[in-house]
Amino acid sequence: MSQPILQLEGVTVETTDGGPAPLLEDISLELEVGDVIGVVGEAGAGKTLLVRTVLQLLPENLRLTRGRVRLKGTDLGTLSEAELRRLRGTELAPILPDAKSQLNPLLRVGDMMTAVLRTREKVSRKEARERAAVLLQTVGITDPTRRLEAYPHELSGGMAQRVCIALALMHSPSVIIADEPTAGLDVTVQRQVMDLMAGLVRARDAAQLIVTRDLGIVAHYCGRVAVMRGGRIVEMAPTIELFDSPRHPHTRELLKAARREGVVRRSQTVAERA
Amino acid sequence: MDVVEERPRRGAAGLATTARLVREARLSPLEVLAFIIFLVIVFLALFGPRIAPYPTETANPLLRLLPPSWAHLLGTDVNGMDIWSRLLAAPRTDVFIAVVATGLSVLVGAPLGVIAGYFEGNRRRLSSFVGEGILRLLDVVQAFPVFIFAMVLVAIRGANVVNIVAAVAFVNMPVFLRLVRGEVLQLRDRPFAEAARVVGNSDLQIGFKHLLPNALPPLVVQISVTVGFAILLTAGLSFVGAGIAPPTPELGNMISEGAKFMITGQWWPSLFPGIALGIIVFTFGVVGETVGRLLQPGGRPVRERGAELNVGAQQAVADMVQEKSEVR
Amino acid sequence: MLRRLLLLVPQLLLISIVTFILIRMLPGDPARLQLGPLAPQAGVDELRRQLKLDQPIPVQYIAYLERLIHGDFGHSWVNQSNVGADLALRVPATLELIAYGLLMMLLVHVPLAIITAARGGGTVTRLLKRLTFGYGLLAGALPDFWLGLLLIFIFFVRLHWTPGPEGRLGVAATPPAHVTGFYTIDALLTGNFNAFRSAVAHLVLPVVTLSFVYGAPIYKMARSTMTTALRSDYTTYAEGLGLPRWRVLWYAWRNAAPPVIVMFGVISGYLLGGAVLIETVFDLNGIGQYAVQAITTSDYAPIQAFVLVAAVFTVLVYLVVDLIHYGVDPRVRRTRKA
Repeated sequence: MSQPILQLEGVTVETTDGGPAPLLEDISLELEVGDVIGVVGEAGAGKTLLVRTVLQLLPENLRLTRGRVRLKGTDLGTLSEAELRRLRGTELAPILPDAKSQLNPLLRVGDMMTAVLRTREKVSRKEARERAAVLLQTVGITDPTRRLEAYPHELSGGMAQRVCIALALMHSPSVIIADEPTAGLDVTVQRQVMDLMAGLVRARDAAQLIVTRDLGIVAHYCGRVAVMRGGRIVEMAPTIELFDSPRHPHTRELLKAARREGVVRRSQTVAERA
Repeated sequence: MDVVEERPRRGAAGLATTARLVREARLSPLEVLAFIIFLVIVFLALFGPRIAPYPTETANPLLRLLPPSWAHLLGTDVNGMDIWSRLLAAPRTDVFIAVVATGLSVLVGAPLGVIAGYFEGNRRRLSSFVGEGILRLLDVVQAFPVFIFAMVLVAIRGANVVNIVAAVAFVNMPVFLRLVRGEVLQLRDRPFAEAARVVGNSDLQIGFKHLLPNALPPLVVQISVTVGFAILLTAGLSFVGAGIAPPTPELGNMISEGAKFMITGQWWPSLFPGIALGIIVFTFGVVGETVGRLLQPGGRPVRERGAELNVGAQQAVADMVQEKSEVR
Repeated sequence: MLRRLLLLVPQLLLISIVTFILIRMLPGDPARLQLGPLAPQAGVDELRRQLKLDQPIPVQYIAYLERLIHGDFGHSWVNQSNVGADLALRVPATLELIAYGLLMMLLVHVPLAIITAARGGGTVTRLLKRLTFGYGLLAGALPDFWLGLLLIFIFFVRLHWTPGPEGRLGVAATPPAHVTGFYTIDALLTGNFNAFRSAVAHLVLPVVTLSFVYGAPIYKMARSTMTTALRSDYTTYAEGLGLPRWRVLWYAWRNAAPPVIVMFGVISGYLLGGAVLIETVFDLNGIGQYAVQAITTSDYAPIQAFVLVAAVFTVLVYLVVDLIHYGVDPRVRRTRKA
């Protein structure tokens, strides 16, 4: 267990056309089995870019210029496109924001799930469908056989996110990268989805990297937190420590804002009840 | 190539304009080139016949089908006329017809488009009916094959410039109607239109004073594309003998006259007019696209639609696609 | 969808009315033209009565519609032939040209668009991107009839690789028995391989010309929609889940295809008349060429028949396009039902 599953060493991402400053600068992180690390920051801090860097899915005009992303010791930068493809979905699975826009609008849920399943496992179409149905049940979808026939636009946001979780867990990956997993969901659904994800991930012994703006999620689900700003990690600490005694001024700002927002939220619910 | 050689004559004004444009608009080299050629075309349309070194409509049987030489840069045609001279004179015919016809299409199509778009689905029966009616009529008009339709129109009235202009204008009109209608449909419920309504503008005022100007960038792109298409249409009509007849210098009939000699090995009478035609159409396309981009607040390109050059029905595509996305 | 089909009836009726009015506006008296300048006036009057030309316009129209319903497209006074029979011979020639042209666009332009829209790629792809960029800019601006002539000059006059513009078959080949009207297919069906070779050879240049010029909008549309599809969230997500590259491209293409299908429809509708210039250059004896001849000789019946056939064809093509779209996109299905 000494070797971390996912390891970022001084990751720096720059634009290829010589943009002024690096978009990500000197990011280092380590995830061990069972670790859940949260990455927080304002919009534009580079969180989503970090996710895409880990997945090795950078937009065409961006490059990893320094540093390494290691998965179980292997430097992902040295792998071919085909080898990377084999790792994605099996070792490294993404859960991305706004699930409804992540699912191809012209594909039935079942077709997408069987396609992902059959990419790695030689199973018959029929068997793949049955497995998909079981998996949908695991993520709390009640009538799975009917939902397999559904198109994404026929799903609610929460349901779509559950489908995405099912897709991510399909091959029991060792690392899950979740980018804003609760974006676009109702507050009550957010909790359900996060509880579900946390439970399933723990049961499978996977590590998790949760990128979010929501400090509430971090407080609840993450063991450690990295605070990002302007493409750098400005502070990283165990969650309790960070919440109790934030060291970086930006962390303090974020916490203050979050508390204020919490107040707002509470008064909103009161107003709704009235 | 043949047209580009005219560049030095336009040097001073052209350079000054383009230099400024390049600075302000970050034009690509291709766009700069297109603008230069555009100015050359405009110049030729105005003065082409005058600067031609040889007479452009006088046959000389002694000089029949001479290959390119120093005396006749691009050779001579079947009637012994100098091709280079006729090329210099031809844009006047083609560009004139295309520009006037397109202008007419816009003048008729755009207002109808505003009305159709503004009143479509209006709560008042009559207005809604007018909007719908215009569109359904348009469906029928557009079902007819553009080229043959234009030919029939010309045949009804006889092949002269006026009738060709009318025919070309008529077959292109639906494009503008649909384009403007689509834009108006998108814009009419925006807050600024709502604001104009609240302060007491009439429907027509809102449509023409507030919505139409906002449809300008795509309209400009479409105009340039349509001018290009209209030039091809005019040349095509002349090619089959239903357009401008020789000896009037016109690119389509020049190609047509040379066609049979292509097979016997005399390539020059047809080759050069075709190249000129390609350059002209291409230039109008690029210039329109660029101007459209510059008109657009923020300088972003005007969608992809302006890129489709040849088929007159290209707007129908954008339109059908748009209708489909409206359904969503 | 039912509404869409119902709309077809008034549309077709309107088309027949417009055709009728247009043709009535052509100069000259159809009866006189049909019988020739030397026919006695009594005969002309008799024909006018037969064709109901002496009746008011609405009655004439009804009579015309009746003849149409009985499959009577009229009589060409220039060719002294039955227009219906002429069409049966010439429509397939045009359709064959268009069909192979569209097929070539489907097999060349669309894959090319998909490849050049995809990111990355080796030197070959990058070279392709360069070439197709130039192509996209140029092809739409070139007149098809001129390009046809140029190809004839290069490949027939200079290189002798292809036959000249002498029609659909060489002189040595006998036309195959009529089955579908497509020479290539009929020749294969009847085992007339000589005619098959000749038909293919005579189709190469026209088809290349057609797809080069009219494939440009298809190519541009396909590349632009494919680029959008490949940049979308669902593509990144599919990549992130490790789906094979061909599958990612296929899934993206399913989203990119509908506007391209529409474009195919618009172009085939346009080409039925628009291919006339290519038909003329290669002397393919197609329907467009037939119409042009008819117009230049003021031959009423063929023009009327052609315009009608073309308009109906266009309307049907759009209908097919809509049906395909309806089949491809579940979102359209749902909202149309509601």
